[in-house]
Amino acid sequence: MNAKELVRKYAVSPYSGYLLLVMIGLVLPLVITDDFFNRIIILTFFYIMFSTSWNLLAYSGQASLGHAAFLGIGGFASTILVINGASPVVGVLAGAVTASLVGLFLGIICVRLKEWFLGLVTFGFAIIMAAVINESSIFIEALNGVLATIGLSGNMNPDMLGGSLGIYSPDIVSRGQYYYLFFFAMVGTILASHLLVRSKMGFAFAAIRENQTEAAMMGVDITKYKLIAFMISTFMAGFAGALYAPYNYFINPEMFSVHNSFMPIIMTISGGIGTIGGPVIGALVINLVWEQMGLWGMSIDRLLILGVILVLEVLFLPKGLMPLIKKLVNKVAALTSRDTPL
Amino acid sequence: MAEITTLIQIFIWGLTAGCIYVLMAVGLNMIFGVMKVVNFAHGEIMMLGAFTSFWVYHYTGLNPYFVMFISMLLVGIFGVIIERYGFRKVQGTGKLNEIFLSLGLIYILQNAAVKLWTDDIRKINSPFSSMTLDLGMMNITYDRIIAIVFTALILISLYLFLTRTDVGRALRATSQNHEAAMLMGVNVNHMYMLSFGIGSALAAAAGTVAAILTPFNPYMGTIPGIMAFTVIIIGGLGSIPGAIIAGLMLGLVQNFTIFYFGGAWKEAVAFVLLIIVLIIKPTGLFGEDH
Repeated sequence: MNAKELVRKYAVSPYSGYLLLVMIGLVLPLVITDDFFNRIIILTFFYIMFSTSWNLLAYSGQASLGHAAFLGIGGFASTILVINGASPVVGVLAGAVTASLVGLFLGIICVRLKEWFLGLVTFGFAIIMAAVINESSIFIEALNGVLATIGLSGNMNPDMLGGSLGIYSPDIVSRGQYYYLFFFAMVGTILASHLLVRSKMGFAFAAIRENQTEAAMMGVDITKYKLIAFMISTFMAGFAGALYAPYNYFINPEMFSVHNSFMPIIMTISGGIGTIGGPVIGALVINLVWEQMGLWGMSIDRLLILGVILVLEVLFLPKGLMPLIKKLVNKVAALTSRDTPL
Repeated sequence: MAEITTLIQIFIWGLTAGCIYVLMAVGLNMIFGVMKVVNFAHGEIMMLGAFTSFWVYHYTGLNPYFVMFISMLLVGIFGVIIERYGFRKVQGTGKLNEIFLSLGLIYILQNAAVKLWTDDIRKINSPFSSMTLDLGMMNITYDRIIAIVFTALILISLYLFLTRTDVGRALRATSQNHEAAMLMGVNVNHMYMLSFGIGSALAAAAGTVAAILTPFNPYMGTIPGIMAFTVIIIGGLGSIPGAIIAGLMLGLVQNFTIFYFGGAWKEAVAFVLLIIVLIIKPTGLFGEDH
């Protein structure tokens, strides 16, 4: 095989994308030593994980409009465990599992329902979670009371969720290692989502998304696969949240904000919904645009601009940037092997 | 056991809160019934209605209850524009695109409002705000009574419009089967615009009532928006009687919960109610299978 053939074979394969990603990722901290940029890159990795998790659920035809709920549950659950002496690994995994279980619960309620129901329930769930945590001490005291009346010792600390002020979240690795932690977590998330989409289960997800009735006729167990999609996606979101909380030093009900539910949606749509590269490209572009607007001193304006971007994309670029990038890659590949166009 | 007068007082508060939910939810259901679109930005349209009323009231000094109708007209026209240049464009491209479009609208409307009018807390001062109906043992402010009466009037006129006029019949026909309606010579696109306009106008009425009763800022619409979704799920997607009953029920349940358990439980109780209904009867209390 000569060089041209190699380029043709691998330049358009997804694995070249992974290789490029890993290489760039490993070299990046050597090039960028500035703390501020380091933070932006880590945030980008975080958003890539979060968007990938959202995209996986959308891949099965279920759009969560309150994915921040699972992010926050993962963050709160893991933080509380780590504060109470659990090891970081256990804490992070338990946070993700908790998010996944809550996801399963919501999934069971919504699995029989149409798209908009799921949207309504998840959208409301995230906002109500924020309200509940804001006033958490009241709920925990009430729970303590209930536990005491049925004979169990109800002695949970009412302030354990910190209410509207939030709680301090201790470091799980040293500061310098967060870059690699987020980087490998992100590569793992993307790879998991890639393998899943290419597997038999991924085909089931796509079949359900395209036509539920036909999928059922072909023998796809719709309830089962929808719930699996929900659990995997919310696990990933909880995992991202469990890593974000310690990196951010503290966690508060802001984690459940509409904004956090909204970011993975706009990122995925910008990149290309239903593709593996979409959330990656989208999170990269939107996060950089977002941070740049922050540097320009915009606060309300940048939220407004995000809304305008989303509306324009839905109207004029519903497939996102991915098709454009694919075209570009194909063009480059065609240029390097001019004699036999692809 | 609380005093009976206190309970009646809470009942009235619950009823007024319920009226706001009912106006919101009936509007959402109108839009859903005819267009099969769930507008997540409905709470933001309500906020727009409150601000429209506020500014018209601020500059003209007219009675806020009269201003409400101006606001309904203006916001209704705004809703028609959103339908024509937004939702119409993505019709038929999948439910998700409609949902994403309305999410984008939330961001645009909310932040444009903060940008234009700041997030200061404002209030529409009703001329009746200091007047109360003295029932001997208790007082009820006139504003609350007017809110209930206006909601009833708006709903009755909507009912008459839908059942007694040709346009209303065409609207109902479209919501039952838009292809058959098209074959019968109904201009379905006009019906879509009209339903979105009416839905937005009802949201504007809800916003004005809310702005008269409580202080507001550009973020006022989020929670009532969510509650309106809860109401239409509990009542049954597309069912207007369901929305009225579920809306009043939610308002009452919330206010009694606040009284007995404290304000923190207000949102949680709505969600618990929603989950229970979804588990027992996923189509809602008055819903048919979609």
